[in-house]
Amino acid sequence: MVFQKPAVMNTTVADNVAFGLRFRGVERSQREGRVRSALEIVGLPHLSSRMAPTLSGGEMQRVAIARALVTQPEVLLLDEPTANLDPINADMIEDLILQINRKFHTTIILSTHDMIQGQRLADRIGVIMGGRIVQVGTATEIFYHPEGRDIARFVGTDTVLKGTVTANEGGHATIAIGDTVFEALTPLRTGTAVALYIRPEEVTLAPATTMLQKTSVRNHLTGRITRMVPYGPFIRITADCGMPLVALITRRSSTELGFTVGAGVVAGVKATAIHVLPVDEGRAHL
Amino acid sequence: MSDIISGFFQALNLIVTLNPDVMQIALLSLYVSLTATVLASFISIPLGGFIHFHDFPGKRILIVLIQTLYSVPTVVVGLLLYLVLSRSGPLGYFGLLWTPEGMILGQMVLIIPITTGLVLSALSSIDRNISDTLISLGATGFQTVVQVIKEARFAILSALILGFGRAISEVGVAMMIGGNILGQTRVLTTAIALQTGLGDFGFSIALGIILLAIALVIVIIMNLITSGAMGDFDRIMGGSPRA
Repeated sequence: MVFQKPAVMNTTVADNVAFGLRFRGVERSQREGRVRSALEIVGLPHLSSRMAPTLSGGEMQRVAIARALVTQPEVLLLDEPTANLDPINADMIEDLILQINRKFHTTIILSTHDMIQGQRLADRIGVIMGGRIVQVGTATEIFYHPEGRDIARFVGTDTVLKGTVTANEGGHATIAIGDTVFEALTPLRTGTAVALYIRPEEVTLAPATTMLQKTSVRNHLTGRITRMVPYGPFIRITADCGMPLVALITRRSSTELGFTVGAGVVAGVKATAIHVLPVDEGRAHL
Repeated sequence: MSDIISGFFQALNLIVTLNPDVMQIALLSLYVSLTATVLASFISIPLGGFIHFHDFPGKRILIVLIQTLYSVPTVVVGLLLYLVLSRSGPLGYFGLLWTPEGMILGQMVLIIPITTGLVLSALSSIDRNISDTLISLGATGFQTVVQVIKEARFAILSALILGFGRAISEVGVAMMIGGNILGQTRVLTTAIALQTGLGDFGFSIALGIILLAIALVIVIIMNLITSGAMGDFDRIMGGSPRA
């Protein structure tokens, strides 16, 4: 188990790593070798005689991982291992986690608030909301097929639209939302009340003056920009197209396309990028 | 004024020539108070550990009681011990009254509240994360307690040194239980009280200087320990310099 805030004992790095072995009664002669190899895995063999409290946060976290690893656990629990670290140290810890998993086939269970980290590291993700696991699946399942509105919002799907299936030909459905008609892929039959989940990075925006080219994008809506919020190198743009649609585009494209609040835009979403869930069933009901 | 000056020179003379009476009294003081402190630590550290790591009804009240006893008057402890140790008392059989061992017992009773209370605060200053981490690494309850006490070692040592300071500087117990018998139970503080009453200022000043010197040594040791805990210690202990 590795805690969010690594606690190191006020002794050397090597002694810190040796604790688990000492508690298990492993002999001194064996301890040294195992401590050394654990420190090599986390890349800190040169610091083994340093006093642990003098280390940086990232180094302490690596000592904590070595300390857990040295007992050769079958399951390693990591509680937000990168929450208190800068991005460079966080990257290092992430690499380490992957490396441990690949090399020793250790099952690693880690908690995180960082959605992207979850996608990067996890084979399976469980979404915990209100103290309960509400969905378990691969990253793709969780992020592109969330089972319900709450989970969708939790994993970053901004746009949720309610409508009704008006036609369905072999899974290729037409869905009416107010006066607007969307095309999406779903096996749900005509007449089903549905919710459409659209991730912001799947929404394309173009200036309203652009001639629409023939692309695979079937759903086009015209509207106006109502809100622009910077989001790292990206910008989240909310466009009112009779319903609010949220798009995530790079700042550069936003500038180049001359987007400002009030500007007219054409929003597009591929039929394949829309996740459709029935409204009356299970957790989708809200 | 002349009393002070002549007394001071007489005192230096007694110290420099290692006057046997003065040395005997100083050594007995150190023996009694050091023994009391060491024995008190055998009780305070486990007791502090037990109180810190267990939850039981009345725990807070117990801690408040311990803290109240920090300032118990030495003469009250003396009175209590006198009643217990005198021939007709419950422990009269052991004949500890008027002996150094009786004084040790008295000073233990006097300082155990302080050392226990400070051990408690030393332990509670250790991050909760430390014991969680130890448990996660497979430590038994006992191993966890031992390791957390080790983590708090510097603060615990200061607690014991403070207890020693109270023991060696107190008069009440030494006077009431020891009886200030020359060559047997006369210690620095009781000797100072007696000799001052007799007008033998030189002797008193000499003992006072020794008492202050002991206090100085204590302060120096404490400073070394706490500064060591903060930084230089790892350098002294052979760790590599910080990058």
